[in-house]
Amino acid sequence: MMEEKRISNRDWEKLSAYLDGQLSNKDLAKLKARLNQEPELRKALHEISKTRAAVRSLPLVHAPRNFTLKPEMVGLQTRTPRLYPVFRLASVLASILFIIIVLGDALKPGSPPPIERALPAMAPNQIVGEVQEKSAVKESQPLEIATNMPGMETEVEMPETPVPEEELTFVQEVPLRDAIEESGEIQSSPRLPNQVATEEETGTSGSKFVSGGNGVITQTTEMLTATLTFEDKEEEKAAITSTITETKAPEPTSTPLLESPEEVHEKVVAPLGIREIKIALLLVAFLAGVTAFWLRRRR
Amino acid sequence: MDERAFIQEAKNGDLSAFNRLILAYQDMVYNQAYRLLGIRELAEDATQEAFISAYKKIRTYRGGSFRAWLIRIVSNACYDELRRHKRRPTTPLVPSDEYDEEIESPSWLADPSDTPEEETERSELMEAINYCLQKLSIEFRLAVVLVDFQNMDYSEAAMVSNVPVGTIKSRLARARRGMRQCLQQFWELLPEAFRLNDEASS
Repeated sequence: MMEEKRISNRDWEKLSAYLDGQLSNKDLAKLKARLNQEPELRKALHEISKTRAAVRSLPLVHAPRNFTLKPEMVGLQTRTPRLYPVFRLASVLASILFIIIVLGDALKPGSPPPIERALPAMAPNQIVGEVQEKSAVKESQPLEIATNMPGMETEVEMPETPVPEEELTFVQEVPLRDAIEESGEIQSSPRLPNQVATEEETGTSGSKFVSGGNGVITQTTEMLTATLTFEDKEEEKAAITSTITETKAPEPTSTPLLESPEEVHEKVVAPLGIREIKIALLLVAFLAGVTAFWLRRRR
Repeated sequence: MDERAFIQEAKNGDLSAFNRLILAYQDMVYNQAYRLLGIRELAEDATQEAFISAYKKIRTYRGGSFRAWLIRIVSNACYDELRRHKRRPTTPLVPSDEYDEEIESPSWLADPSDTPEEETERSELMEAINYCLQKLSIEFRLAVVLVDFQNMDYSEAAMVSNVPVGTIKSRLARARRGMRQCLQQFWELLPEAFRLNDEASS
């Protein structure tokens, strides 16, 4: 303790700086002179030198782990691409639509194959006509083509007529003729028996009624009924073909024949089949999903 | 490693470039934190905080020693860590009286909470040195770690500590005196080269 008390703080600083080589030349010369003369100062230098060596002997330790930074650690927000939610939503919606269509298709009882089923709301102008098939009608009986109301299509009554089945899409039994006959006087037009009412005649005149003096309804035959009697097969084919041509669907479907007169099927030929819609939805769902996934991974 | 290029890329916001710098300096930074704090868990936290802070302040780096710049940041992180955890107060190495005169008494080195068994547990030399290092106040500890452990010169240590060179010289001398007195408790553990009283006994 006596040694320490004899060595001032300034001497300790000089000894420390001497060990580190931080003394000026002047201070270094003075200290060396004192060290030669003062054993206590030499001893102090020796002790502080060993202390310094002990501290310097501390080993370097390895970092226990990597301290590399992640964007969220430094407040960097990873920006999601703007299109990501669009593709994600498109994929989800397409998938939902696809599931709905598949389930609806599978759960509909007695439904025909999807490709052949009609979509009523898709092609209203493709309703081609009404065909009433009566098994009791003989070949010699006249073919009856009638209109019910303005805009409605032609009613065709024909026995065993080789009309293409695909082109007959709407069948309805309308007892219009019987109703008119019961109602009173009907003035028939002098149309020839073999004459077929054209689309223009039936469409423009439609159900035009003329009120008589005693309430008797007169209906012209151009407006209501055209009765045809086909004498031979050739005329029948030509007449039916001319009637149906204008209303023919662009893509004929293979609709099965109606099994009974009471059974009514409404069919509209879809411009795009269910199968194509399913494929398109699947493609959209898959591609949009893959794109969304890629956009998310890319950020 | 092209340190300058990585620093420039990091200044432009390239985090991967900064991570390359981290991989190069993480051992050095962790050692600085560990020698200042003495506890590995605290040193890990301080090291991570230091690198986060360094990345956020990278634009303020104006050249010079990048290593010294990092050591300054991790030293400040250690100060914050010590304040945060309110570790047990360290005894001032050289306490002063009311007249600002040093109180030269070896009794302040004795830790009444330490038992002989506890001292025996610190039988390893490195643990003894680390123990004495932690007995220093943080300012003196920083000075001795910078100069004796990181091998900095006084001017570099002064820059890191943000104090004049004279202050570093004074703090270092006092820190070494305190280490010398502390290590005398473990003189039997010290190798011959480090024993302090061999010359005195001769």
